[in-house]
Amino acid sequence: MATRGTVRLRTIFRMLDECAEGHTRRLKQHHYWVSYGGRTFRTLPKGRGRGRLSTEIELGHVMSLVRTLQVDPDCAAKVIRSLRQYVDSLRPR
Amino acid sequence: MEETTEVSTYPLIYTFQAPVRGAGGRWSALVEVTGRAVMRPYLDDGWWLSSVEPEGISGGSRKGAEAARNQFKRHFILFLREFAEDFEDFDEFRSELAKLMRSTSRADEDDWTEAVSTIRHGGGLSENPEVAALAVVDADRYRPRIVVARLDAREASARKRRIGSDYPEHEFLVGTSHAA
Repeated sequence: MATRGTVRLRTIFRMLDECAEGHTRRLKQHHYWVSYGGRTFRTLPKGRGRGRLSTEIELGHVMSLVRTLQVDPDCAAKVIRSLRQYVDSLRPR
Repeated sequence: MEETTEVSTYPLIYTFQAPVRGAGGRWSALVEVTGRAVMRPYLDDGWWLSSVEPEGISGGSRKGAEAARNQFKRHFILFLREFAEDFEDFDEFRSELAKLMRSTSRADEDDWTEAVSTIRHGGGLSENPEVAALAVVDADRYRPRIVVARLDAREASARKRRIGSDYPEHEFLVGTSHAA
């Protein structure tokens, strides 16, 4: 189980599969470059080895990924529940 | 008494310098990049930075603002190296990097502009010691830019490859504006 404030890479990919249909992931030396809707997020850490899916990624990277690629935040928060507070903070007060 | 506004998002200007190598080590260059980034609170005591340009670079930490800035810098430099490794041709690399620096994250740019305005109107820089240490500059004087200098083999081997070995004096500044 991921610690508070981190998300497993496998869960991030599941979120992208469910919420960003048609996205592409390109494995680089240190990061995944994720493209969707004409935008690219270039600093999703790949973790040790060749992108081990159990690698825990800081939630901040996921927030930035969702924001940059304009992924539906409610869909993202359904898959990654720890994003809920962030998503709620985006709503107009 | 002057009313102050609490600042939770800071408009930063970054300048990083890094040696990079092209595909297969065909060429080497020294890159200096200046751009804008937004620094926001992250979880309990952390901060997270997102680039305004180029779009899609981020980094941060739960251990304070300095650690967050260092993580952003680290990811940015690693990204520059990954980008360079895609190009066999140096001129093409320089051209594509310039094009990339013109890509802007609209959402982050809006937050950056709003944060500049907040600070201009007395937002509490001094209340945050983690940010107060940074120099405050007129944001209008800084434009995103890149400088790329090709290095010959001797110069390239003389460059230390360790990240953080080769940076300008002021890597981060806080932007404000004198405009009305």
